[in-house]
Amino acid sequence: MSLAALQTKFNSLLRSINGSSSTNFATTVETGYEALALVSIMTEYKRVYGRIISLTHPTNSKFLNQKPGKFRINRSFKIEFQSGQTFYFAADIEVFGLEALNQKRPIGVLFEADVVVIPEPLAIDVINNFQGYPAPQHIDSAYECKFGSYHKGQLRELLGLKRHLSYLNGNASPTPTLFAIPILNSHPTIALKMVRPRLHKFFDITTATLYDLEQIIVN
Amino acid sequence: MTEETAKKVFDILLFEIRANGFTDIGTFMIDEVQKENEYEEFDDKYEYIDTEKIMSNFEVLSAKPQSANYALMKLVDAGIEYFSLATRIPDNYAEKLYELSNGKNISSKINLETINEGTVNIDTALKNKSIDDLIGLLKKVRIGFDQDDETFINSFQ
Repeated sequence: MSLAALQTKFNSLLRSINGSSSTNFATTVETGYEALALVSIMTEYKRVYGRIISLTHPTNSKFLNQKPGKFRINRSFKIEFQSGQTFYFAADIEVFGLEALNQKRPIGVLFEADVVVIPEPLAIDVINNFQGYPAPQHIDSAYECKFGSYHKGQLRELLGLKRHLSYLNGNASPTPTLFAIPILNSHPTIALKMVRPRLHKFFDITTATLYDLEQIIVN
Repeated sequence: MTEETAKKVFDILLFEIRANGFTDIGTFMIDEVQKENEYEEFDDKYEYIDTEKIMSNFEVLSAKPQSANYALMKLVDAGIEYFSLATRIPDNYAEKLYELSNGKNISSKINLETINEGTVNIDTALKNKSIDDLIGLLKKVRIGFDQDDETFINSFQ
């Protein structure tokens, strides 16, 4: 008896799935997961900021920006909440770091975040004065989304993005708590989260608390 | 299914998973952590488990006596979970967007522009019938744990 038929069928299905679009399946899943995370983050903002007064969709349902990772109003969701605040929710945005915060101009390297939330009053500054790349002073929260792979480098990546965007022990001003963890030690008070479909081992609790890092589950 | 057959099936599935770039499945072989235990603690047996490492660990385990069925079960369950969660992404996205829009008729397509300026509709890519077929095949392997080798192997002819 042979297991060749099982192997042929399994191989054929895997090939078929990978060949169903111009990007491979793993990449497509990761990208689709960013969309799911983005809409889940909008839901969390609704919980915090109240009923949605208006929701503006991205043009042609295209909001998964690929290169060059610039924030564009027509590639973002815009939501006005009952509390009076309005935010843009954008995917795949490259962001400046602390030097751009200090000098109030576009300077320094850019790192990508999978989802970035920008208060509406600051969006014009991003576009007009920062070439479309938000700096820390423009960002309300940012998210790294990981559906498939899990490795230690992802934790380094999250920690690196945190230090790119915020000072430690910067007398964090009180802000509404998104998801579970309040921002205590970051200046500016940017919430930075790791989004996964299931919980895995994270930083030790001291590091997570010190850097205001949190792992949230979306599926 | 005998241990001998389970080992052969494990090796076949793992080979094809690696050869076709689906190693992300390995992440779902890692035991899920409960919320209260998510923070890593160091001890004398510290070993950082990641996607690659867990597959290698189970590959080694599958060669040990009386362990192939268990290793195969972990691999099959991980595959079912990975593909099931992936194929539900578009519907879960649409459902959450519908709730945010207060039930208004809105577009819940997820379009992705590729580097060569083409557009990939993620809904279509992730709700592919082949994914359902693949989940079905993996469930069939799972049924095989309660079958004799001949019945199991013949079910794929």
